[in-house]
Amino acid sequence: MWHRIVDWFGDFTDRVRFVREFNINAKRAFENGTVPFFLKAKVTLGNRRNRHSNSKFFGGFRIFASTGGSLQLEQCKVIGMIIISNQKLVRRMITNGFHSLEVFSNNSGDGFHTAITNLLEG
Amino acid sequence: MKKLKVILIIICSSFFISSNSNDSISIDNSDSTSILKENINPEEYSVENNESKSIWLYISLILIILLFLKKYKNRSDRGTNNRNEEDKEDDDDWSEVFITLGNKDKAKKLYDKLIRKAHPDRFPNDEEKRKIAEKITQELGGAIKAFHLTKLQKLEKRINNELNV
Repeated sequence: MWHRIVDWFGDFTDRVRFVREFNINAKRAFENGTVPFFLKAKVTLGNRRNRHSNSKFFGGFRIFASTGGSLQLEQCKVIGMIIISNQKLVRRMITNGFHSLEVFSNNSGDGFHTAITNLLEG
Repeated sequence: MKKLKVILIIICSSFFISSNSNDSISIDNSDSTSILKENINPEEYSVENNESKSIWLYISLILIILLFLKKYKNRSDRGTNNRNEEDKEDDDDWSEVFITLGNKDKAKKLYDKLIRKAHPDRFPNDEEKRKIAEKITQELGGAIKAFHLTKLQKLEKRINNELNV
């Protein structure tokens, strides 16, 4: 019982750290001007159809992108594709219990979502 | 750490002293106390006593929790160097993503330039070069999917060396 509680807290801190790292880096990138839009990640329920054996109840990794104007669906897809292309990040997402990746525009509400398990290579 | 322990001991002892002193309160028969006795409702008086006890109890409990937390922190600090290195590595993962996001327009331009350079139809007579060009175009397609600028730059070097374009 005790080790389960400890494991749960450990997993939870890992997930929080993962999201926090993203937010910190996104903030830095936006401030430095390397990225034209401000991204912010949040943990959500996600799409239940994408669940896998290691996924948690809150298994959605949602990224909100905000710009001066409205962000188009294609740009949301590009952001998603860039994240997906990094296999290490995909693996980290799976081990942290995420099952779906969602990228949404803050202004227009457009966005796309994918199952993370489908993106694993090999 | 020692300070915290001393504070904890002081507070615990004060809590016990206060609880004992409240038990052994003896009311004098003087006029002033008798007036007080009349004014104060005995039920309220006992509630106040309990409240003062509980406040000390809570304070001591909080201090105990703080003590444990500090101990736990000290334990976890032993592996901080390793953990910091891990954090840096993790940070690098995300920073890579943001760098590629920032350079995506550059990557697109470079891809357009390279795909023209290394198109297999440019080598109709030389079969070897054609095969190399086919391979490189496939790799270019993979690199542009992820907007990987560094990969594209490596491929540019390869094109210059192997295809001599």
